[in-house]
Amino acid sequence: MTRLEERYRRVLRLLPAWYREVWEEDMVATYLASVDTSDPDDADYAADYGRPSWSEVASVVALAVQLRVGSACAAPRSTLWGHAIRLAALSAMLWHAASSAVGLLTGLWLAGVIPFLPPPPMPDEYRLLLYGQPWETFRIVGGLLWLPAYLLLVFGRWTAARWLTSIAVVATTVYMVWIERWPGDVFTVSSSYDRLLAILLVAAMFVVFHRDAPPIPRRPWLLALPYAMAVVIGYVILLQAAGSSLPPLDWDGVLSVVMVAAAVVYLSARRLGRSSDTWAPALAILAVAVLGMRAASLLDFALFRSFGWPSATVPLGIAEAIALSVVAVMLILLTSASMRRLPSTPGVRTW
Amino acid sequence: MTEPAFFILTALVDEPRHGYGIVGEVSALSDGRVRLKVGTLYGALDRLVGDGLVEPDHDEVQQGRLRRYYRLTESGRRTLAAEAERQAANARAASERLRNWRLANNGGLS
Repeated sequence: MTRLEERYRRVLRLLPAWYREVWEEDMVATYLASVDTSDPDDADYAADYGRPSWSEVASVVALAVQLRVGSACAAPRSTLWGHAIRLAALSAMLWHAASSAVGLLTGLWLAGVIPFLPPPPMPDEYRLLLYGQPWETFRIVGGLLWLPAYLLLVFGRWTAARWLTSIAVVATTVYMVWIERWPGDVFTVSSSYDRLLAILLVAAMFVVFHRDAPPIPRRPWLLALPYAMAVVIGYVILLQAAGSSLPPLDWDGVLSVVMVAAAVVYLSARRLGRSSDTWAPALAILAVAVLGMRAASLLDFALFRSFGWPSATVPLGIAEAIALSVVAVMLILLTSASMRRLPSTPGVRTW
Repeated sequence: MTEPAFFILTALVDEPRHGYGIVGEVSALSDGRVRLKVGTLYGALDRLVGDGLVEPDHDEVQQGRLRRYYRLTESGRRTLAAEAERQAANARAASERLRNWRLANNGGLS
Protein backbone atom coordinates (compact mmCIF):
# COMPACT_ATOMS: atom_id res chain seq x y z
CA MET A 1 0.00 0.00 0.00
CA THR A 2 1.43 3.40 -1.00
CA ARG A 3 1.55 6.42 1.32
CA LEU A 4 -1.06 8.12 -0.85
CA GLU A 5 -3.45 5.19 -0.45
CA GLU A 6 -2.84 5.18 3.32
CA ARG A 7 -3.68 8.89 3.46
CA TYR A 8 -6.84 8.46 1.41
CA ARG A 9 -8.00 5.53 3.54
CA ARG A 10 -7.41 7.70 6.62
CA VAL A 11 -9.80 10.31 5.14
CA LEU A 12 -12.36 7.57 4.45
CA ARG A 13 -12.41 6.73 8.16
CA LEU A 14 -14.73 9.73 8.49
CA LEU A 15 -17.44 7.59 6.87
CA PRO A 16 -19.57 5.23 8.98
CA ALA A 17 -18.15 1.70 9.29
CA TRP A 18 -21.15 0.07 7.53
CA TYR A 19 -20.67 2.40 4.56
CA ARG A 20 -16.94 1.72 4.32
CA GLU A 21 -17.63 -1.99 4.39
CA VAL A 22 -19.69 -1.62 1.21
CA TRP A 23 -17.86 1.13 -0.68
CA GLU A 24 -14.30 1.61 0.63
CA GLU A 25 -12.38 -0.65 -1.78
CA ASP A 26 -14.27 0.74 -4.76
CA MET A 27 -13.71 4.33 -3.63
CA VAL A 28 -9.99 3.71 -3.14
CA ALA A 29 -9.69 2.09 -6.60
CA THR A 30 -11.53 5.01 -8.23
CA TYR A 31 -9.50 7.61 -6.36
CA LEU A 32 -6.15 6.01 -7.20
CA ALA A 33 -7.17 5.66 -10.86
CA SER A 34 -8.14 9.35 -10.91
CA VAL A 35 -4.69 10.47 -9.72
CA ASP A 36 -2.75 8.00 -11.86
CA THR A 37 -0.49 9.57 -14.47
CA SER A 38 1.22 8.09 -17.53
CA ASP A 39 4.64 9.33 -16.41
CA PRO A 40 6.20 6.67 -14.10
CA ASP A 41 8.31 9.28 -12.24
CA ASP A 42 5.29 11.46 -11.50
CA ALA A 43 3.30 8.39 -10.45
CA ASP A 44 6.06 7.31 -8.02
CA TYR A 45 6.31 10.81 -6.58
CA ALA A 46 2.52 11.06 -6.13
CA ALA A 47 2.44 7.59 -4.51
CA ASP A 48 5.02 8.67 -1.90
CA TYR A 49 4.34 12.35 -1.37
CA GLY A 50 0.87 12.99 -2.80
CA ARG A 51 -2.08 13.87 -0.60
CA PRO A 52 -5.79 13.87 -1.36
CA SER A 53 -6.75 17.37 -2.55
CA TRP A 54 -8.92 19.58 -0.36
CA SER A 55 -11.80 19.17 -2.78
CA GLU A 56 -11.56 15.35 -2.53
CA VAL A 57 -11.44 15.57 1.27
CA ALA A 58 -14.39 18.01 1.25
CA SER A 59 -16.46 15.59 -0.86
CA VAL A 60 -15.81 12.79 1.65
CA VAL A 61 -16.61 15.11 4.60
CA ALA A 62 -19.88 16.16 2.92
CA LEU A 63 -20.78 12.51 2.33
CA ALA A 64 -19.94 11.61 5.94
CA VAL A 65 -22.17 14.41 7.24
CA GLN A 66 -25.04 13.37 4.94
CA LEU A 67 -24.77 9.78 6.13
CA ARG A 68 -24.76 10.79 9.80
CA VAL A 69 -27.73 13.16 9.75
CA GLY A 70 -30.25 11.14 7.84
CA SER A 71 -30.07 11.48 4.08
CA ALA A 72 -32.08 8.88 2.11
CA CYS A 73 -29.35 6.23 2.37
CA ALA A 74 -28.54 6.78 6.07
CA ALA A 75 -29.04 4.31 8.91
CA PRO A 76 -32.17 4.61 11.13
CA ARG A 77 -30.02 5.84 14.03
CA SER A 78 -28.58 8.62 11.83
CA THR A 79 -32.07 9.44 10.57
CA LEU A 80 -33.22 9.97 14.17
CA TRP A 81 -30.20 12.22 14.83
CA GLY A 82 -31.00 14.22 11.70
CA HIS A 83 -34.61 14.60 12.83
CA ALA A 84 -33.52 15.63 16.33
CA ILE A 85 -31.11 18.28 15.00
CA ARG A 86 -33.88 19.62 12.73
CA LEU A 87 -36.26 19.92 15.70
CA ALA A 88 -33.58 21.58 17.83
CA ALA A 89 -32.71 24.03 15.02
CA LEU A 90 -36.40 24.81 14.46
CA SER A 91 -36.88 25.44 18.20
CA ALA A 92 -33.86 27.76 18.26
CA MET A 93 -35.21 29.58 15.19
CA LEU A 94 -38.62 29.87 16.90
CA TRP A 95 -37.04 31.53 19.95
CA HIS A 96 -35.05 33.95 17.79
CA ALA A 97 -38.15 34.71 15.68
CA ALA A 98 -40.28 35.41 18.78
CA SER A 99 -37.58 37.73 20.16
CA SER A 100 -37.32 39.36 16.74
CA ALA A 101 -41.09 39.92 16.52
CA VAL A 102 -41.24 41.37 20.03
CA GLY A 103 -38.19 43.53 19.21
CA LEU A 104 -40.02 44.84 16.15
CA LEU A 105 -43.17 45.62 18.15
CA THR A 106 -41.14 47.25 20.95
CA GLY A 107 -39.19 49.32 18.43
CA LEU A 108 -42.40 50.55 16.80
CA TRP A 109 -43.86 51.35 20.23
CA LEU A 110 -40.77 53.28 21.35
CA ALA A 111 -40.77 55.13 18.03
CA GLY A 112 -44.39 56.17 18.73
CA VAL A 113 -45.86 54.72 15.54
CA ILE A 114 -48.37 52.31 17.12
CA PRO A 115 -51.81 53.98 17.17
CA PHE A 116 -53.53 54.33 20.58
CA LEU A 117 -50.37 53.21 22.37
CA PRO A 118 -48.25 56.24 23.29
CA PRO A 119 -44.53 55.60 23.71
CA PRO A 120 -43.07 55.65 27.22
CA PRO A 121 -41.20 58.79 28.29
CA MET A 122 -37.61 58.38 27.17
CA PRO A 123 -34.62 60.71 27.66
CA ASP A 124 -33.33 62.24 24.43
CA GLU A 125 -29.87 60.69 24.81
CA TYR A 126 -31.45 57.22 25.05
CA ARG A 127 -33.58 57.89 21.97
CA LEU A 128 -30.42 59.04 20.14
CA LEU A 129 -28.64 55.86 21.23
CA LEU A 130 -31.52 53.75 19.92
CA TYR A 131 -32.16 55.48 16.63
CA GLY A 132 -29.29 57.83 15.94
CA GLN A 133 -26.41 55.37 15.55
CA PRO A 134 -25.92 53.66 12.20
CA TRP A 135 -24.46 50.59 13.89
CA GLU A 136 -27.56 50.29 16.11
CA THR A 137 -29.74 50.38 12.99
CA PHE A 138 -27.51 47.68 11.49
CA ARG A 139 -27.98 45.52 14.62
CA ILE A 140 -31.73 46.12 14.73
CA VAL A 141 -32.22 45.25 11.05
CA GLY A 142 -30.01 42.16 11.44
CA GLY A 143 -32.02 41.08 14.48
CA LEU A 144 -35.32 41.48 12.65
CA LEU A 145 -34.29 39.03 9.91
CA TRP A 146 -34.90 36.07 12.24
CA LEU A 147 -38.66 36.44 11.91
CA PRO A 148 -38.86 36.13 8.09
CA ALA A 149 -36.14 33.46 8.21
CA TYR A 150 -38.28 31.35 10.58
CA LEU A 151 -41.43 31.83 8.51
CA LEU A 152 -39.58 30.89 5.31
CA LEU A 153 -38.25 27.77 7.04
CA VAL A 154 -41.71 26.70 8.19
CA PHE A 155 -43.18 27.33 4.72
CA GLY A 156 -40.52 25.10 3.14
CA ARG A 157 -38.39 27.86 1.55
CA TRP A 158 -35.28 26.37 3.10
CA THR A 159 -32.67 27.96 0.86
CA ALA A 160 -33.98 31.49 1.46
CA ALA A 161 -34.28 30.74 5.19
CA ARG A 162 -30.66 29.58 5.33
CA TRP A 163 -29.32 32.70 3.67
CA LEU A 164 -31.44 35.09 5.75
CA THR A 165 -30.27 33.34 8.93
CA SER A 166 -26.66 33.59 7.75
CA ILE A 167 -27.07 37.33 7.11
CA ALA A 168 -28.67 37.81 10.56
CA VAL A 169 -25.78 35.96 12.23
CA VAL A 170 -23.12 37.86 10.27
CA ALA A 171 -24.81 41.23 11.00
CA THR A 172 -24.95 40.53 14.75
CA THR A 173 -21.37 39.21 14.79
CA VAL A 174 -20.03 42.26 12.94
CA TYR A 175 -21.92 44.50 15.35
CA MET A 176 -20.48 42.66 18.37
CA VAL A 177 -16.93 42.87 17.03
CA TRP A 178 -17.53 46.56 16.39
CA ILE A 179 -18.82 47.40 19.89
CA GLU A 180 -15.88 45.56 21.41
CA ARG A 181 -13.77 48.40 20.08
CA TRP A 182 -15.67 50.91 22.21
CA PRO A 183 -14.13 51.88 25.57
CA GLY A 184 -15.85 50.16 28.48
CA ASP A 185 -17.29 47.32 26.42
CA VAL A 186 -16.02 43.78 26.86
CA PHE A 187 -16.27 40.72 24.67
CA THR A 188 -17.77 38.37 27.25
CA VAL A 189 -17.76 34.58 27.56
CA SER A 190 -21.52 34.53 26.95
CA SER A 191 -21.28 36.70 23.83
CA SER A 192 -18.58 34.38 22.41
CA TYR A 193 -20.66 31.31 23.30
CA ASP A 194 -23.72 32.95 21.75
CA ARG A 195 -21.77 33.43 18.48
CA LEU A 196 -20.64 29.79 18.58
CA LEU A 197 -24.26 28.64 18.93
CA ALA A 198 -25.33 30.97 16.11
CA ILE A 199 -22.66 29.51 13.80
CA LEU A 200 -23.70 25.96 14.76
CA LEU A 201 -27.32 26.89 14.03
CA VAL A 202 -26.40 28.16 10.55
CA ALA A 203 -24.35 25.00 9.93
CA ALA A 204 -27.33 22.87 11.04
CA MET A 205 -29.61 24.81 8.68
CA PHE A 206 -27.35 23.95 5.77
CA VAL A 207 -26.84 20.30 6.75
CA VAL A 208 -30.10 18.89 8.12
CA PHE A 209 -32.68 20.64 5.95
CA HIS A 210 -31.76 18.51 2.94
CA ARG A 211 -33.98 17.29 0.13
CA ASP A 212 -34.70 13.98 1.87
CA ALA A 213 -35.92 15.75 5.02
CA PRO A 214 -39.70 15.58 5.55
CA PRO A 215 -41.65 18.85 5.24
CA ILE A 216 -42.15 20.81 8.44
CA PRO A 217 -45.72 20.56 9.82
CA ARG A 218 -46.77 24.21 9.46
CA ARG A 219 -49.70 24.47 11.84
CA PRO A 220 -48.00 23.56 15.16
CA TRP A 221 -44.87 25.59 14.37
CA LEU A 222 -46.90 28.66 13.35
CA LEU A 223 -49.10 28.31 16.45
CA ALA A 224 -45.97 28.07 18.60
CA LEU A 225 -44.83 31.55 17.51
CA PRO A 226 -47.46 33.59 19.45
CA TYR A 227 -46.86 31.41 22.53
CA ALA A 228 -43.12 32.07 22.37
CA MET A 229 -43.83 35.78 21.81
CA ALA A 230 -46.08 35.78 24.88
CA VAL A 231 -43.15 34.52 26.98
CA VAL A 232 -40.85 37.24 25.61
CA ILE A 233 -43.52 39.95 26.05
CA GLY A 234 -44.11 38.72 29.62
CA TYR A 235 -40.43 39.22 30.35
CA VAL A 236 -40.40 42.68 28.73
CA ILE A 237 -43.35 43.66 30.97
CA LEU A 238 -41.43 42.30 33.98
CA LEU A 239 -38.45 44.48 33.02
CA GLN A 240 -40.71 47.52 32.63
CA ALA A 241 -42.38 46.86 35.98
CA ALA A 242 -39.00 46.61 37.69
CA GLY A 243 -38.30 50.23 36.65
CA SER A 244 -34.71 51.38 36.98
CA SER A 245 -33.59 48.27 38.90
CA LEU A 246 -33.40 44.89 37.17
CA PRO A 247 -35.26 41.75 38.36
CA PRO A 248 -33.16 38.74 39.53
CA LEU A 249 -34.26 36.72 36.48
CA ASP A 250 -31.98 37.64 33.56
CA TRP A 251 -32.52 36.78 29.87
CA ASP A 252 -30.57 33.50 30.09
CA GLY A 253 -32.66 32.72 33.17
CA VAL A 254 -35.86 33.09 31.12
CA LEU A 255 -34.46 30.70 28.54
CA SER A 256 -33.42 28.25 31.29
CA VAL A 257 -36.90 28.31 32.83
CA VAL A 258 -38.53 27.74 29.41
CA MET A 259 -36.12 24.88 28.69
CA VAL A 260 -36.70 23.16 32.04
CA ALA A 261 -40.48 23.60 31.67
CA ALA A 262 -40.40 22.08 28.15
CA ALA A 263 -38.33 19.13 29.41
CA VAL A 264 -40.66 18.53 32.36
CA VAL A 265 -43.72 18.62 30.08
CA TYR A 266 -42.05 16.15 27.69
CA LEU A 267 -40.90 13.80 30.45
CA SER A 268 -44.39 13.84 32.04
CA ALA A 269 -46.07 13.17 28.70
CA ARG A 270 -43.62 10.35 28.06
CA ARG A 271 -44.47 8.72 31.37
CA LEU A 272 -48.10 8.78 30.30
CA GLY A 273 -47.13 7.31 26.93
CA ARG A 274 -48.18 10.43 25.03
CA SER A 275 -44.92 11.44 23.40
CA SER A 276 -42.56 9.89 20.92
CA ASP A 277 -38.84 9.14 21.07
CA THR A 278 -37.97 11.83 18.55
CA TRP A 279 -38.18 14.80 20.92
CA ALA A 280 -35.81 13.29 23.54
CA PRO A 281 -32.58 13.84 21.52
CA ALA A 282 -33.81 17.27 20.30
CA LEU A 283 -34.50 18.42 23.86
CA ALA A 284 -31.19 16.90 25.01
CA ILE A 285 -29.33 19.02 22.42
CA LEU A 286 -31.26 22.14 23.46
CA ALA A 287 -30.79 21.49 27.19
CA VAL A 288 -27.01 21.14 26.76
CA ALA A 289 -26.91 24.33 24.64
CA VAL A 290 -28.95 26.33 27.20
CA LEU A 291 -26.90 24.91 30.07
CA GLY A 292 -23.75 26.16 28.31
CA MET A 293 -25.38 29.58 27.91
CA ARG A 294 -26.33 29.71 31.58
CA ALA A 295 -22.84 28.64 32.67
CA ALA A 296 -21.23 31.21 30.35
CA SER A 297 -23.23 34.12 31.76
CA LEU A 298 -22.53 32.98 35.33
CA LEU A 299 -18.84 32.89 34.42
CA ASP A 300 -19.17 36.45 33.11
CA PHE A 301 -20.62 37.57 36.43
CA ALA A 302 -17.61 36.02 38.18
CA LEU A 303 -14.97 37.30 35.74
CA PHE A 304 -16.17 40.76 34.84
CA ARG A 305 -19.08 42.43 36.62
CA SER A 306 -22.76 42.01 37.34
CA PHE A 307 -23.78 44.12 34.30
CA GLY A 308 -26.42 45.79 36.50
CA TRP A 309 -28.15 42.56 37.57
CA PRO A 310 -28.90 42.25 41.33
CA SER A 311 -26.84 39.92 43.51
CA ALA A 312 -29.76 37.45 43.67
CA THR A 313 -29.23 36.69 39.96
CA VAL A 314 -26.18 34.54 40.74
CA PRO A 315 -27.77 32.05 43.20
CA LEU A 316 -30.87 31.96 41.01
CA GLY A 317 -28.63 31.29 38.01
CA ILE A 318 -26.87 28.46 39.87
CA ALA A 319 -30.26 26.92 40.71
CA GLU A 320 -31.22 27.17 37.04
CA ALA A 321 -27.95 25.53 36.02
CA ILE A 322 -28.58 22.63 38.45
CA ALA A 323 -32.15 22.16 37.15
CA LEU A 324 -30.87 22.25 33.56
CA SER A 325 -28.16 19.69 34.38
CA VAL A 326 -30.73 17.32 35.90
CA VAL A 327 -33.07 17.48 32.89
CA ALA A 328 -30.12 17.30 30.47
CA VAL A 329 -28.86 14.07 32.10
CA MET A 330 -32.35 12.54 32.05
CA LEU A 331 -32.82 13.45 28.39
CA ILE A 332 -29.36 12.13 27.43
CA LEU A 333 -30.12 8.81 29.16
CA LEU A 334 -33.46 8.57 27.32
CA THR A 335 -31.77 9.45 24.03
CA SER A 336 -29.10 6.84 24.59
CA ALA A 337 -31.77 4.18 25.25
CA SER A 338 -33.73 5.21 22.13
CA MET A 339 -30.63 5.13 19.97
CA ARG A 340 -29.61 1.69 21.21
CA ARG A 341 -32.96 0.31 20.09
CA LEU A 342 -32.35 1.49 16.52
CA PRO A 343 -30.02 -0.22 14.03
CA SER A 344 -26.83 1.69 13.28
CA THR A 345 -26.74 0.39 9.70
CA PRO A 346 -29.36 0.76 6.95
CA GLY A 347 -29.34 -2.98 6.24
CA VAL A 348 -26.99 -5.17 4.27
CA ARG A 349 -26.64 -4.36 0.57
CA THR A 350 -27.39 -7.10 -1.90
CA TRP A 351 -23.85 -7.58 -3.18
CA MET B 1 -32.75 14.99 -9.97
CA THR B 2 -29.34 16.53 -9.27
CA GLU B 3 -26.94 17.25 -12.10
CA PRO B 4 -24.37 14.62 -10.98
CA ALA B 5 -27.12 11.96 -10.75
CA PHE B 6 -28.39 12.91 -14.22
CA PHE B 7 -24.93 12.60 -15.74
CA ILE B 8 -24.16 9.34 -13.90
CA LEU B 9 -27.33 7.76 -15.29
CA THR B 10 -26.48 9.10 -18.75
CA ALA B 11 -22.95 7.70 -18.51
CA LEU B 12 -24.39 4.22 -17.87
CA VAL B 13 -26.86 4.18 -20.77
CA ASP B 14 -24.68 2.43 -23.34
CA GLU B 15 -22.60 0.08 -21.19
CA PRO B 16 -21.74 -0.84 -17.59
CA ARG B 17 -18.88 1.24 -16.18
CA HIS B 18 -16.69 1.21 -13.06
CA GLY B 19 -16.29 4.24 -10.78
CA TYR B 20 -13.39 5.85 -12.61
CA GLY B 21 -15.06 5.09 -15.97
CA ILE B 22 -18.14 6.99 -14.78
CA VAL B 23 -16.00 9.97 -13.66
CA GLY B 24 -14.35 10.15 -17.10
CA GLU B 25 -17.58 9.70 -19.02
CA VAL B 26 -19.42 12.36 -16.98
CA SER B 27 -16.56 14.78 -17.64
CA ALA B 28 -16.74 14.03 -21.40
CA LEU B 29 -20.56 14.31 -21.50
CA SER B 30 -20.49 17.70 -19.80
CA ASP B 31 -17.53 19.05 -21.82
CA GLY B 32 -15.40 19.00 -18.69
CA ARG B 33 -17.84 21.15 -16.71
CA VAL B 34 -18.86 18.44 -14.21
CA ARG B 35 -15.82 16.83 -12.61
CA LEU B 36 -17.09 14.38 -10.00
CA LYS B 37 -15.11 14.02 -6.82
CA VAL B 38 -14.99 10.50 -5.41
CA GLY B 39 -17.12 11.35 -2.36
CA THR B 40 -19.75 12.98 -4.58
CA LEU B 41 -19.77 10.03 -7.01
CA TYR B 42 -20.28 7.39 -4.33
CA GLY B 43 -22.83 9.50 -2.43
CA ALA B 44 -24.86 9.72 -5.65
CA LEU B 45 -24.25 6.06 -6.60
CA ASP B 46 -25.35 4.83 -3.17
CA ARG B 47 -28.56 6.83 -3.52
CA LEU B 48 -29.18 5.61 -7.11
CA VAL B 49 -28.60 2.00 -6.05
CA GLY B 50 -30.92 2.52 -3.06
CA ASP B 51 -33.60 3.94 -5.40
CA GLY B 52 -33.22 0.95 -7.75
CA LEU B 53 -32.04 3.09 -10.70
CA VAL B 54 -28.53 1.56 -10.84
CA GLU B 55 -27.29 -1.91 -9.89
CA PRO B 56 -23.93 -3.64 -9.74
CA ASP B 57 -23.09 -5.53 -12.94
CA HIS B 58 -19.88 -7.49 -12.33
CA ASP B 59 -16.48 -7.26 -10.64
CA GLU B 60 -13.07 -7.34 -12.35
CA VAL B 61 -9.60 -7.50 -10.87
CA GLN B 62 -7.18 -5.07 -12.51
CA GLN B 63 -3.62 -4.53 -11.23
CA GLY B 64 -4.54 -6.35 -8.03
CA ARG B 65 -7.55 -4.10 -7.37
CA LEU B 66 -11.19 -5.02 -7.49
CA ARG B 67 -13.18 -2.91 -9.94
CA ARG B 68 -16.94 -2.97 -9.56
CA TYR B 69 -19.00 -2.22 -12.66
CA TYR B 70 -22.45 -0.64 -12.49
CA ARG B 71 -25.31 -0.74 -14.97
CA LEU B 72 -28.56 1.10 -15.46
CA THR B 73 -31.74 -0.75 -14.43
CA GLU B 74 -34.93 -0.59 -16.48
CA SER B 75 -36.36 1.76 -13.87
CA GLY B 76 -33.22 3.92 -14.19
CA ARG B 77 -33.64 4.05 -17.97
CA ARG B 78 -37.28 5.17 -17.63
CA THR B 79 -36.41 7.77 -14.97
CA LEU B 80 -33.60 9.17 -17.11
CA ALA B 81 -35.84 9.31 -20.19
CA ALA B 82 -38.51 11.20 -18.22
CA GLU B 83 -35.91 13.62 -16.82
CA ALA B 84 -34.34 14.17 -20.26
CA GLU B 85 -37.80 14.88 -21.71
CA ARG B 86 -38.53 17.34 -18.89
CA GLN B 87 -35.23 19.17 -19.43
CA ALA B 88 -35.79 19.19 -23.22
CA ALA B 89 -39.28 20.69 -22.72
CA ASN B 90 -37.78 23.39 -20.48
CA ALA B 91 -35.09 24.13 -23.07
CA ARG B 92 -37.70 24.28 -25.87
CA ALA B 93 -39.83 26.74 -23.87
CA ALA B 94 -36.82 28.97 -23.21
CA SER B 95 -35.64 28.81 -26.84
CA GLU B 96 -39.12 29.66 -28.09
CA ARG B 97 -39.33 32.70 -25.84
CA LEU B 98 -35.87 33.88 -26.88
CA ARG B 99 -36.68 33.39 -30.58
CA ASN B 100 -39.88 35.44 -30.21
CA TRP B 101 -38.03 38.16 -28.34
CA ARG B 102 -35.37 38.38 -31.07
CA LEU B 103 -38.03 38.55 -33.77
CA ALA B 104 -39.83 41.33 -31.93
CA ASN B 105 -36.70 43.37 -31.15
CA ASN B 106 -34.30 42.78 -34.03
CA GLY B 107 -36.54 41.65 -36.79
CA GLY B 108 -35.02 38.19 -36.44
CA LEU B 109 -31.52 39.36 -37.46
CA SER B 110 -29.60 37.89 -34.48
